[in-house]
Amino acid sequence: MLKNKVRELRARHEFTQSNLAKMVGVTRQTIGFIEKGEFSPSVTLALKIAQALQCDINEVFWLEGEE
Amino acid sequence: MKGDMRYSYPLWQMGFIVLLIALTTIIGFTADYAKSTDSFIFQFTLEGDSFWYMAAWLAVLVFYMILFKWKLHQHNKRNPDHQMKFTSFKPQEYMADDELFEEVTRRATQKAYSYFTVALPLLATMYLILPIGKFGMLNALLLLAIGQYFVYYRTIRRYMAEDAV
Repeated sequence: MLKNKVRELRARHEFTQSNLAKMVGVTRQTIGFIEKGEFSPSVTLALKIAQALQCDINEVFWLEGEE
Repeated sequence: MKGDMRYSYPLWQMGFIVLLIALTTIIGFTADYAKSTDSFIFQFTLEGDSFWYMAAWLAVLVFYMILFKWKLHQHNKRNPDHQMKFTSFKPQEYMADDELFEEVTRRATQKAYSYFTVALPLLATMYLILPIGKFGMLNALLLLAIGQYFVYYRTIRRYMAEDAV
């Protein structure tokens, strides 16, 4: 299962969901559902989010348990 | 998603189908068939109660159409990037704003497809076994279409109604 700490890192940068969504070119809902772990982003979007949060992608997203 | 009619569009479609069911029911009750070996005559007469039912139906249809067009106009004004057209062949409820929306649309259409793979053979079996008239068959098909929109709406509602913060 794909886990992430987008919410935590976003809060650290004091970004709102809307800010981050705008930076990576998606809707606010998408960021919300990624944070809740209910939607797994594509590799491209995951990379964009990591870039926007100025982190390595492995710090933001990781696999946990069995796929 | 406030003011985005793509979300509520299946409900509007369900409303239109309910109106169609009402129409087929009114006509069904007043229709006469005459069938011989070389001809077929279909006629219906609007007299007495059926006339008033039809008049009421027309009034509701006009009101519903006005309301629908007004909502459509409001949507297009608020969402210039997602304009909707009543006359388009493409289902207007499809959303492809980003990958979440594409995924939601995919899941909803997949569920609607699965629904039909079960519902259509069931309906065909019912037609085969039960003595259902022409208008009953038509109404059952229309009910099936309502079911399709319901399945679609129920799937997207979970994603779109929620105001994730």
